[in-house]
Amino acid sequence: MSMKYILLPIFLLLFSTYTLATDKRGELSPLFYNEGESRYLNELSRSDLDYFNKTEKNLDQLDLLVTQNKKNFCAYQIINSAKNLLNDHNNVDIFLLYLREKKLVDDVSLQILTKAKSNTLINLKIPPDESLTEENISDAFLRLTEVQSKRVQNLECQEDLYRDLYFSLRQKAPILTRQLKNVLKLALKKHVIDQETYNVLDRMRKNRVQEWPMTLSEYARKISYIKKNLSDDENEKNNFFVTEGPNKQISYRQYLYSQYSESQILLMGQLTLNLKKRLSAESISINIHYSDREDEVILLSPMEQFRIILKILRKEMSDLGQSDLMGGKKVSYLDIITASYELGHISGEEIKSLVALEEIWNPKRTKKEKAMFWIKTFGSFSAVLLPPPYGFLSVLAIMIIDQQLSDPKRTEDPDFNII
Amino acid sequence: MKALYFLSILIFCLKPLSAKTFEVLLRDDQFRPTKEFVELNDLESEDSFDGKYFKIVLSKSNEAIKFDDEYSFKAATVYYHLTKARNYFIERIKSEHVKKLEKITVRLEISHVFNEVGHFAHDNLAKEYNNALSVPSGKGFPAKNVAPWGPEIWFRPSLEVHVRDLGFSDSNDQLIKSSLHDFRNQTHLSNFRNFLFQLIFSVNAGQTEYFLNSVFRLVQSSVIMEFLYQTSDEAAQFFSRKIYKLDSAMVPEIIYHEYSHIALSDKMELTHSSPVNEGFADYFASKIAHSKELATHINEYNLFSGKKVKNKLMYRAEFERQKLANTDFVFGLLWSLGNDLKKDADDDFVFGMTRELNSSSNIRDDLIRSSLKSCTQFCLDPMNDRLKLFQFYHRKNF
Repeated sequence: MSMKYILLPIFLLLFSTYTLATDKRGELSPLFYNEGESRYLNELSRSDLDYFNKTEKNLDQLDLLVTQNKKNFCAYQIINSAKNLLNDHNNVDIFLLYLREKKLVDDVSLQILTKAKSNTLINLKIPPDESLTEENISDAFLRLTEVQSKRVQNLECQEDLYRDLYFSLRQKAPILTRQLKNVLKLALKKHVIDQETYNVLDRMRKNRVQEWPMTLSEYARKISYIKKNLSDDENEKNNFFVTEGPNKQISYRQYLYSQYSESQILLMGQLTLNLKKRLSAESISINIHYSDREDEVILLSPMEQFRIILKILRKEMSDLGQSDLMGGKKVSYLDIITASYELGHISGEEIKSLVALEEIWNPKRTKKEKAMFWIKTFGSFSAVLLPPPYGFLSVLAIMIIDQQLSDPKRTEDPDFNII
Repeated sequence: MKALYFLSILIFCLKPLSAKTFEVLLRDDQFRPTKEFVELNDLESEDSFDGKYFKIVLSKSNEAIKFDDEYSFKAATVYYHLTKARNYFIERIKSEHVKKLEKITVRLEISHVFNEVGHFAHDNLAKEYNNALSVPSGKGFPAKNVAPWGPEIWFRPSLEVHVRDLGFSDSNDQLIKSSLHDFRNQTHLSNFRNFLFQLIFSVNAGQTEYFLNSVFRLVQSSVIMEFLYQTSDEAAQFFSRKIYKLDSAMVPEIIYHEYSHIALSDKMELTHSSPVNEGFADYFASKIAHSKELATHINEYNLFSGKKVKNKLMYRAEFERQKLANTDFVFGLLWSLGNDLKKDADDDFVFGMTRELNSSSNIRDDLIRSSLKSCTQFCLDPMNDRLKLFQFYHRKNF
């Protein structure tokens, strides 16, 4: 046997041992990432939490629900177990906040658990009047038999089982998901699934679990993978990705983990590593090769270097978005920054400066510019309405306000720069 | 006996440095000129401004100005502020070059042009006024009895001259002219819109007389505006400052500026002015003076507008030209870099930049590169701070 076949397993063994040994953040709860302040905890919840801490008897057992080393973390299972352990099963909301305050879960886990806890059923559309074919029913039953078996063996979380079922049925024939209620009833009637499996699946259907961005077990798997790639600075935390988000309902962290797989997050993080490496370059030059004379080397100025580095970044973003690895998802710059922070490629201190880079290729209108737009619009209108010859007063007023408000303008693409 | 002999020689060699009190010109808390008595240290002479580090002389003379000379107030002021500037570079910047500098001769009231070979240009050549300069050391010209000389600082005499003879235009005048140009164009456009509006609504409503009256007023307004615009240059000339005067030796910031040139001369030679070395001299002068403004509010000795860091100028390629070496663009840029962007490093960071530059360095390439390099050494978080620098330069139109 060649030497390399002996050395390779040894190397892999050593590497994994090293990774585990240096994975300091891995010591934290599997459902917690040190993400800074929670967007769910506020002053009002503090008093409830104080009361909860004082009165709840089974705190140790409740903690174990999310800290015990399990194969899968199942949101519904955790909620059901908590209800059994709590003094008052109506205290699930406070229990979830308690977990967040104690840093046993982070905001992303908390959001999934809250969805699982929710008893509010979303208004379901009345299924359309469509007829299922024999083939459809046969496909569905085959899949439901597998679900029944897995549920009995308790191999997977209920929500994962349901989502797998839903997406595979949709792939087979969309009618099966539109008529899922009837399919489940028929399967129960024909004894393909038992009553308990029916209850579980129907509850998931009513709670529209297929619309969750991800399940708790998926998140636990992603975070476990990501944690292995983190830097070992456990004090590193920043509120930006928790408090800010693409919309008010979701933070950048939540969005990242719901949209991208762990390998996609790794790929995105690589772009920032490349960016940082290039920013520290000593010099960048353009080489012009001739066949019949000496090559020409044009050394770029520092700002030309900076701009070409940003252009390369944008090109890499576009290439990544086009690649099959990303599944056709368009990658935004903020997603890349979020991924890089999650992977520990950038520090909390660097976030603001890196986020501000986008302003260079995608400048936003400042409040002053927006204000000037309206002032000029109304000013021009009032100039017409003012009786002659007082129109100049309006012009004068606009000019004075403009001079006070406006920042000096940059000249785009001045001739003294190549890039 | 032998010991006594050596002791007497030693005492003679270790001539005590005396500290005497003189009235000098200072700045008060509001940055206005004020006269105060201060102690001048390191003086080696008992009766003249000849010290351990500076010798203040008059014009081409090599004799230090006497304490009872008519220029003693000016000499004391220069001596005091030069000492302050030297202390800044020794104590704050920890400059090894300044520590090793030989005694500097400082010439007051010298109007001769500097000559690299002969030290002083011929008396018949045109004189220079209202200025100051730092002079590099020279080897002399023994054949013509020109002795070698060390680095010197020259302060020109002040002389009232007409602004138009200086051949420069005030940047504020250009700004006002440009604003007036915009105002005139906008007023004409507004009057034209108003005319169309009246034409459509008043004529349709049958108010012909009102329409004609309005048109007459609009035309009147446009004519007056045009008249004001066309005569604006003459009006500006009539109302603006006509006389320029600068007694450079009586303006503390100019003294600091010239000393800064000497202090930085190990890297930025004194052979010629450039926007970069003038900008650095301005920056350190302002740091020594604790002010964002140079040479303003000292009207008794100064009738020029000074330099202000607040000038929010965007970079233009012509700022690289030697002719514009004394504009305040680089000064404002360095102030922003040193104070606004890099509060934790400021002076060390800016001084670090000078280690990478020389008098031929330009702004766009060399100055920016030096700041990025200096940041690697002096910034607390180099990666992050370099990013901030890039963004700042981008905003400044580089």
